[in-house]
Parts: sequence; C-alpha cells; structure tokens
Amino acid sequence: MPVYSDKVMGHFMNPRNVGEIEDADGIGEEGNPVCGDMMTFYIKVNDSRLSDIKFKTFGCGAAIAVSSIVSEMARGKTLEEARKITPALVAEELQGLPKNKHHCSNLGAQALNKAIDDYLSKQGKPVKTRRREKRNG
Amino acid sequence: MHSAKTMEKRGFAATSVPVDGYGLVELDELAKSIREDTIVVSIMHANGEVGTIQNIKEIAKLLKGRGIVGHPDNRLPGNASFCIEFIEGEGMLMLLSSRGIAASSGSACTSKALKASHVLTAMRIPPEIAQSSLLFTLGRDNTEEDIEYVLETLPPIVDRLRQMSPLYAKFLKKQSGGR
Ligand code: FES
Repeated sequence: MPVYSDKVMGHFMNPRNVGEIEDADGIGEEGNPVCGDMMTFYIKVNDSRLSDIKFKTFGCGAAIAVSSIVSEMARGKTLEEARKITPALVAEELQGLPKNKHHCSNLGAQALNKAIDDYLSKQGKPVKTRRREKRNG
Repeated sequence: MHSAKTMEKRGFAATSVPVDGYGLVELDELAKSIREDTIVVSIMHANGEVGTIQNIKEIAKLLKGRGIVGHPDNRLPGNASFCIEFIEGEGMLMLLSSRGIAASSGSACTSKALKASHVLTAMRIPPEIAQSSLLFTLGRDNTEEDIEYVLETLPPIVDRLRQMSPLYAKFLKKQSGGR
C-alpha cells in the first residue's frame, strides 16, 4: 500500500459529504482512463453558489480522499471559484499525493467541473470549458 | 512465465495457453498448441493468487506417449481469493489494515503500474471486477479466531465502501427498476 499523508488518511477514514442529492441541479460523472475508476459529483446551486455538494466514488484510497476534500473545498463557493479548484491545488490541500496517484486528483476536479457544466447546460447557459486550466500528473 | 521468456531468448519457441474464467487451462487450446517438436509443457498446478488447481490428470493424458515432459509447478497455498463487486481493492486493504488485518489485492489501483494482476487479466475477468480483488493468505501462525475476526470485520467494511460506490448505486437502481 502506498504511504499517504495524514490528511489523506483522515479524509479516507472519514470522508465528508458522501452520498447523492436526489434533486441535484447538476451531476458530473468522470471515469478514470488510467485504472478504470469512477467518481460522481452532485451539486445544488443557490444564487450561483454551491449550496450543497455530495459525491460517490469507486476508486482507491486517494480517490476517496480527493473527492472528500474537493467537496469541502467547493462547498459555499461560487461556480467561478469552484472552477479554479485544480488537481494541483487538491493535491496540495491533501499534503501531497504519491507520484502514481496524481491522476486520482484529476478525477476529482474534472467530475466537479462536469457537474457545473451539467448545471449550466440545464439552465440553458453557455458552458465554459476549462482547457486553460493546468493539468497535473 | 519468466523462465519461458528466458527460453525464448535462447532460441526456443514458447506458446502461452489461455485459461478460462476460473483460471483453468483450456484443454482444447492446449491440445492445439502442442507441436511435433514440443518438449516441455509447464503448468502452474495451484495458482498462488487465485488458488485455481489445474486438472493435471487430463493434461498428463494429452502428453502421454508424445515424448513431452510435464512440468507442474506445484504449490498449494492456504489462500482465499475473492472479487467483491462494486468496490476497489486498495480501499478494502486500507480499512482492513486499520483493523489489524493484512491482505492483498490484484486491483489496478493497488499496483505500482496501475494495471490489474496478469492472473486476473488472463482469466478474462472484466476490469471493474478485477478492481475488487481481495486475497487472504493463511500463515502458519494464523488461528481459527483470526478467521472469525476477518469474517466479522470484513462485511461492515464492504458495506461502508459500497455506500460510497457509484457502481453499487447504479446496480441497486437497476435492480429496483425490475430488470
Ligand atoms: S483511483 Fe485507481 S489509483 Fe486512484
């Protein structure tokens, strides 16, 4: 097993915001091309802020910790702010990730962004893709 | 497998014979791949990862009278290998280890190279099921109480990870959808 930081272990043992939101305003599902795992984010939006966020994850310990911390980082943020959560920031917030686990942090940021995209397209608003964002891993 | 590669480097030809979903060597395929000039058939009698035991008798029948040496690589380990669907191996290992249980997994996430175990792949286990591989090995110091402890500890861990799994949620929905 890889050696994880205390923060990763904490979030893995005690993940925040696990679950689904029945009447979600946006849902984002992202698969992991590297190992075949999957993460789904559910969001509620109020006054263009993320008023609620939940996730489900099928993946390694790091992937579970990533989804948990992403949900904490994003909660209460505006959509614009939430879009700025990059894999690098996620890894930093988790006190680092083992080298071969960086792709798991991509998964979190991407699933969240997809949920925001989903919300915007349901609202009939233009969906901004985030190609300019820096990728990690 | 490594010895076969070494032989190939020395100029021998080697054929790998596929296994079925339980890891059993496919006898038809084996019969087909035996050639006039075959000299050795090497079989792992008992697989150390999934515990498959090959039908050596039938295999020996195939080789009889053809001047071929059978080479069963014989080892019968006290192991139990599972795939616990909808959850991933590393998470199980981490939670088990937090309760003092050491196990292993052939999942992609637990491997350095992020690839599922070649044994499971050869058995054509679908990737998402290989992800849920969990392997227990008994050592000589293990007691019956240890096994009881694992049996008590594992189900809540499975439950907990399934509650987090989008695949499990999908499976439940599909089931309640009457399909
Ligand atoms: S999800 Fe597979 S390595 Fe993290």
